[in-house]
Amino acid sequence: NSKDQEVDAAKSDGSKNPQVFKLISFLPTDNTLTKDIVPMWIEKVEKETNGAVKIEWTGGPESIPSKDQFDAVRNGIADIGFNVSSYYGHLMPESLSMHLSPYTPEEERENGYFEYLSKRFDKNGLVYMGRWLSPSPFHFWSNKEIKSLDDLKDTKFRSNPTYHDIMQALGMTPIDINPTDVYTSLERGMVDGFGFPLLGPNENGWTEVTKYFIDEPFLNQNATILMNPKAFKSLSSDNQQKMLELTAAFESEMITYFNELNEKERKEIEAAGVKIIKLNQEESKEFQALVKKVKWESLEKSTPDQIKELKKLLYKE
Amino acid sequence: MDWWQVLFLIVGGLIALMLIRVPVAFSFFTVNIVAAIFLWGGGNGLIQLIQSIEDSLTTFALVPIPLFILMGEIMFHTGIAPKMIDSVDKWIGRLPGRLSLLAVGSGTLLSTLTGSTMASTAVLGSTLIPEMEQRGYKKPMTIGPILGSGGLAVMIPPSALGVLLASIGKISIGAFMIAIILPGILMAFLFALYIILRAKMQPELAPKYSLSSVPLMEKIRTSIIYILPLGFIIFLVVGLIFLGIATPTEAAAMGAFGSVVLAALYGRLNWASLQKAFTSTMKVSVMILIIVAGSTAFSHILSFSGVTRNLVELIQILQFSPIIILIAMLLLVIIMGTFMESLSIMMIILPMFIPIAQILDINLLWFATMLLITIEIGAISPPFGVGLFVMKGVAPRGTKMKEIYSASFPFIALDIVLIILVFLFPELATWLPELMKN
Amino acid sequence: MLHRLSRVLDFTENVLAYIGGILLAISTITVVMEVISRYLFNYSFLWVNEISEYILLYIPFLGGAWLLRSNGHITVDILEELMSSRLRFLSDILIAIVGILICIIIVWYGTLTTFDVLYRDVRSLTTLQIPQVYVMAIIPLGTFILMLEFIRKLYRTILMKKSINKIDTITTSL
Ligand code: NA
Ligand code: NA
Repeated sequence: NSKDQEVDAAKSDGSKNPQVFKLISFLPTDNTLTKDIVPMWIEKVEKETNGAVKIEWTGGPESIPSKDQFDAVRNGIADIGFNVSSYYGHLMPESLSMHLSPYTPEEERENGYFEYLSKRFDKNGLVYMGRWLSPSPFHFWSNKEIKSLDDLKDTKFRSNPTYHDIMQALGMTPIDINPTDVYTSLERGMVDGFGFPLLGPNENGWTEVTKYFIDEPFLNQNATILMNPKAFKSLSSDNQQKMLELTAAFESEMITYFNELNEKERKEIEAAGVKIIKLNQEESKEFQALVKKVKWESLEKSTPDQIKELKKLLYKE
Repeated sequence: MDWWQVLFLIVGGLIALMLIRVPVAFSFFTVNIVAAIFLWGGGNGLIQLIQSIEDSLTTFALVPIPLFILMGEIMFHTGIAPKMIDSVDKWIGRLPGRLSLLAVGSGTLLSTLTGSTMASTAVLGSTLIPEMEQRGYKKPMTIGPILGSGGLAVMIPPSALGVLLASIGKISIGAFMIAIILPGILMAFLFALYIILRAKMQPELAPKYSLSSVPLMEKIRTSIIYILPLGFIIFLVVGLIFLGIATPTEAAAMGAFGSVVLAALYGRLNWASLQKAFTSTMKVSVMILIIVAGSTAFSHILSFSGVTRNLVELIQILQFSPIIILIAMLLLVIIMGTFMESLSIMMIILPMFIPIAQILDINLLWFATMLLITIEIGAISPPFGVGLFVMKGVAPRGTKMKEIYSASFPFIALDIVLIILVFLFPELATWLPELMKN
Repeated sequence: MLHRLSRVLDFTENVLAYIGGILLAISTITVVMEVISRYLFNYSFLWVNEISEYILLYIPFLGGAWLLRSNGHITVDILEELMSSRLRFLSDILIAIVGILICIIIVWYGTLTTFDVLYRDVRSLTTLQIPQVYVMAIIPLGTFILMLEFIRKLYRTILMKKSINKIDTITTSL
C-alpha cells in the first residue's frame, strides 16, 4: 500500500511533469457553444489539480468527425470528449434518454440518474464526468406564424432524427436537408421552418431568412463530458476524485454562463428580425404531452432492455 | 516530435509517394496509415482511419459530384452538348481563339448550372476538348481555358463551396452569394481578354478555320433546337431552387434526370450511349471520391496532430500589419492548395482564419471573396488539384500531366490578378451586397 | 489455372462496377422521386438522403479495382519520362507492393470495424435504422478485390520483365 501511495505521490507531483490529455469537441473551437465553455473547464481542471493535469484541446470535427468522437475517446485516440448524444446515440441508444430527463444536472446527481449513466458509460468503455451544455432545449423556428398546433399541420420542416418522430406525430412533413442547404431552402420557401436549439441559427446566418422563433422549449440538453478509462485511471486517486468534484461544481457555473448567453441570444435574434412567439397554455400542454409520448415510445423501441429502469429514474407524470 | 517535423514527414512522404507514381488516392492512404499508427496509437488509430474513410464519403453534400458528372456525360455521349456548343458557335464571329472563348462562355453559362468545379471541368472538358482537338487547337488553348473556366462554377452562384465557406466562416450566405458575382464575371472577362491576346500573338495555338457565313434563319433555327432546351436544364437546376421545390443538392439529381429526358426527346437516347455515359461517370466518380476519402482523413490527421494549428499560430505570432497577415494567409492557402483539396483546406483554415480576420478588423465579405478565389486556385495549381485530376480523367488519352500543368499556369496567374484587383478595389465584393440592403 | 483465376477476377470487377452504375442510377431516381413526391403529395421519404450517402461510399469501393485494372486512378506522372525502364520496373514493383500492403491493412482493420459494428448492432438513427454493418462491409470487401488487382499487377510486371529479358537475350544472341 505504501507503494501505491508512492505512485500516487509521484502522480500528483505534476507541476514538473504534468499529465497531458487530449480533448476533442463535437463543434469547432470557435463555435459559440464551445469557445468559452471548454476553456472554462480546462482552466478549472488545471488549476484544481495544481498543474498535475494539462489539457490540450485538439479541436473539433475538423480533427475527428463528430460521429466518431465517442469511439475515439473510448479507444484512447483522444482522452476527453465534449459531445452530445445525438452523435453517439447509434452506439449507445440509452444515452438518448438524456433528452427526456426533466431534471437539472445537480438533481440528476442526487436522484440516481447520474449513477445510472456512469454505469452505462462504463459498460461502453467510458468514464462519465458530467454535463457541459445546459440549458439548451430544442425549439421550432418557422416562417409561418404558428398560433396553434393545427398551424403546424402539413408544414414542411427541416429535420433530423431528433425531431423526425415528433414532427410526424404533429402531421408535419419532416425533410432531411444538408446543413449547407438549409439557408437556401428557407430563403426559397422550400421548407417552412426547422428544429434547432436557441443557439446556432443566428451564428449560421439562418435567422436572416427566418421570421419566427416559437418559444416552446422541448426535451432536455444531452451534452456530456466523457473520458477514456485508461487516461482516467492514470491519474492519482486524489486527482480522480478532484476531477469528478470539479466537474460537478463546473456544471452550476456552466448553467449560469449559458443562461446569460441564452438571454443575450434572445435579444440578438430579435435584433436580427426574428419574432418570438408563444403557444397558449392549453396548446403548450398538449404539445409537451405529445413530445413526451412520442419520445418515450421511440426510446422503448431503441433500448427495450433499459426502458423500465429509465422510466423509474426519469418519468414524471 | 515537433509539429514542423511532423509536417515535413507527412507532406514530404506524400509528395515522394506521388512522385514515384503511386496513384494519388493510395499515396494519401499510405501516409494516413503510417500517421494513424504513430499519431493515433496503432490499431485503434487504424480503426479510426476506417471510420474516417466511411464518414468522409457518407456526406450528402458530395452527392452533386457524381450527378453533375453524369449530367455532362449524358449530354456528351448522346451528342447533345456538342450540338449546343456548335449552335453557340454560329453566333460567335471571327474572334481570335474563338473556341477557347466558347469554353469561357459555356463555362460561364454552365456555372449558373453547377456549383462544383469538378463537375464543371468534367462537362467542359469532355464536351469541348474533342471539338477543339479536331479544329487543331493546341493544349494551352484547350486545357487552360477549361481549367480556368471550371473555377467560374464556384465564383458564380450557385456555389456549393461558397455556401460552405460562408456558413463555416459565419458570414451571411445570401450576401456572400451576391458578393462573388462581380468578381466571377470579372474572372470570365480576364480569361477572355487573355485568350484573345494570346491567340493574336500565337495564332498557331488556335488556328483559324474557315467559317462559312451562316444565314440568320439557320442560326435561329439551331438555337431554338439546341440552346433553348438548355433553359429546361437551367430550370431544373436553378429554377427549382428558386421556386423552393428542391434543395441545391437535390437539384443536381433533377438536372441529371433532365438531361436523360432531354436526350430522349432528341431521340438520341439509346442503351449504348447510356451505358457509355454511366461507365465514364463511374470512372470519374471513383477517381474523385477515392481521393476525397484519402484527403479528408489526411486533413483530420494534420489537424489532430496540431500541425495546422501551429502553422496558423506562427502567422499570428509574427506581429505584422493586417495587410501583411492577410497576404500571408492568402499565400498559405495558395501553398496548401498545391497539394491539398479545397474542401479540406477550408475545413482546416477557416476556424483559424476567420477569428484572425475578425481580430484584425478585416471586412469578412471581402476577405472571404479573396479566400474563395485563392482556394479555387488550389484546384488547378500543380502538382495536386482536383481540377487537374478531373482534366486528366477527361482529356484525350495520352495527355501528359505535364501538359496539363503548363496549361494551368497562365490561368493561375489570371486568378492572382483577379485577387489583386479585388484586394485593391474591395468594392468589387462589397458594392452589390450593400446595394441589396438598401 | 492462373488464367482462369484472372478471368474470374475480371468478371468480379465488372460485376461490381456494374452494380456501382446501377446504384448511381438508383441515387438519381430516388432523389427525383423525393422531390416530386414532396412537391405533389407533401410526402417526404426520409431515407433518400441516407441511401444516397451510402451509395457515395459504395461507388469508389465497388469501382476501385475495376478502375485500377485499366490504370485509371489519378497518378502524378511528372517524372515518368525521366525514368529509365529499369527504374520504372522497380517503381512498378514498389507501387504494387505498397498497394498490396495498404489493402491488407484496410481489409484487416475494415473487417475488424465491420465485425465491431455488427457485434454492437450499430444502426443508423433514422427511421430506416439500417444496420451499419451493411455500410461498413463494403470497405473491406471492395479493398479485398483491389488487393487482388494489385497482386495481378505485381505478377504481370514481373512476367513482362521476364519476357522482355527473354527478347533481350534473343536479340543479343542474334
Ligand atoms: Na456556379
Ligand atoms: Na493544387
